[in-house]
Amino acid sequence: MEAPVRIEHVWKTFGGTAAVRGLSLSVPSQSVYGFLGPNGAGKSTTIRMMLGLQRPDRGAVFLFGRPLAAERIAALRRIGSMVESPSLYPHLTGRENLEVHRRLLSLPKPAVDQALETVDLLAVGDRLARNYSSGMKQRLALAQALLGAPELLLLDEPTNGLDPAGIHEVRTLVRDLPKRRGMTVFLSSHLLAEVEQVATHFAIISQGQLKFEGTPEELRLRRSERIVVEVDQPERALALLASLGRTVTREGNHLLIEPGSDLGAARINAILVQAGVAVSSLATKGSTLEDAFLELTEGDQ
Amino acid sequence: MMLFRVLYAESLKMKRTSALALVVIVPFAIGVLILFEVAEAPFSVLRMRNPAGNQWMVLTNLNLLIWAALMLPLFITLETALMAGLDHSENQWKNLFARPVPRWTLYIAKLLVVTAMAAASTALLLCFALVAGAILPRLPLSVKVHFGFPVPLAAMLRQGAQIAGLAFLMLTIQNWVSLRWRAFSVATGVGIMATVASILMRAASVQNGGWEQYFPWSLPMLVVATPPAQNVGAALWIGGVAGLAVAAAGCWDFCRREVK
Repeated sequence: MEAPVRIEHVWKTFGGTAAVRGLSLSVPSQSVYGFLGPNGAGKSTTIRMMLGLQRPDRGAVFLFGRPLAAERIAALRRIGSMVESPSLYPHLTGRENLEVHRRLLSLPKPAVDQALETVDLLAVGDRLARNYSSGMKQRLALAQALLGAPELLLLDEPTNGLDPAGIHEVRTLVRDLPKRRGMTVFLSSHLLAEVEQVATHFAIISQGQLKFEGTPEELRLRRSERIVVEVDQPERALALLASLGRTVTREGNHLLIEPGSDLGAARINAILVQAGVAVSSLATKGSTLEDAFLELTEGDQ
Repeated sequence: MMLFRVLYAESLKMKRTSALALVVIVPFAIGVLILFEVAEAPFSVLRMRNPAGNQWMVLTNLNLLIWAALMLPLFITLETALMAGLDHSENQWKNLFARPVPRWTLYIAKLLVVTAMAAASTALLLCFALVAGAILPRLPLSVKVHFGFPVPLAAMLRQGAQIAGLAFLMLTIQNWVSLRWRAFSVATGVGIMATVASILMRAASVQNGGWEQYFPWSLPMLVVATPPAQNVGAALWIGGVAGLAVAAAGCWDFCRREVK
């Protein structure tokens, strides 16, 4: 099946500073694609280029297999989006805000109520948007994006300003969309915890460059386990392991041995014991997605 | 078809806005001021006029003079700024440009809406002049005024249409400025300065003649000039073509813009 989004070697520069540098992505159909990166990594610029709001200096964006630059209108018919903070007409009601977009999309009238119902705003649809709480505004913006049941949903930081209950609602909604409606969701965030629970695929971007693209499992496997060992002579053990080319950090009597060679836990234990270092405990420490994320985006925070 | 969809959406955006209310309020305010002036002011133009003259046209000219010289340029300044402000606020452009509609339709829809507002307000101003003409003879004035029949509707409409037509060039400029710059103060500043300049230009023209015909904001004054301007027809053509050129340039600029 054709990837709903394919980005090829895209560059975007603002005032001599490259915000996006040779980025390439491919978003699988009916996936929840988490697009992660620290603030200022180039996520919003990438999304804007995917919507045609900004033009790449180099490279190309393909939506549903067609070049966006040549077939923008046709591509946008199949896309719903929410870019950063909600953009609403405060003097209109929630329902009227959606009606503006319904008219632009030439959808049947019931589409408005369906979208309001999806985000649980049907009961307050006739209230002015200026009187909505920030969580309700966020949900109304989400309803705008969902209007017309798009095949691809682009969400840029969709849980900004939401309380925990609101975050949970958005998360549940996003998780269900591919299954219930066959949508592909492209979800941008700087919060790993937000994306980790819903994404089937990840891309991590840092300083405008792609650092990783794949499944959560592939991201975990990318980082080997570290070994934590407790010894009676930490200085001597540290010098010994360092001489074997291992990266070791010391915390009291504990040594944290970074992965990097074929020395396993058993071999390390044997080396230390043979050298007369008493090993009190030895354990492997699993690498989390957060560890991988932080490692990949190191220096960009 | 796409343009109709965008116009349909644009009409909803105006709901509960001051932009829509101004269409009625501004000509109504002028109508009331003229009524008050004619009824109360000791040197009223209308009262000094020869009763045998066409009082309807004198009353219409009074309304249109204030409209063409001052209120219409300010009205257009405000309306273009308010209409653009609807989408500048909360950066609606990122939503609108992400919809499957050609960008030029968004620009042209704004232009058409403000043009329709200016035309509607001019028409309302003429209606209020007719109402004033119906009220004035019934007021207990020291000097009676009489508005004979038939009412010169065709002449009134022609003058109103000419003023609205000559305002098209300034409207396209204000529309471009309002959509180009997000700050309300830029659009209103340009409009107010240009309106003041047009009044000064008109004043200078009394001595030296003709300057106002080269300035977009003073073109509508040609219709109500004393002595009557002879080049209204030519100004309508030139202003119309120049207005279309400005609209095309503004539209091109709008369509190539990137949204941050």
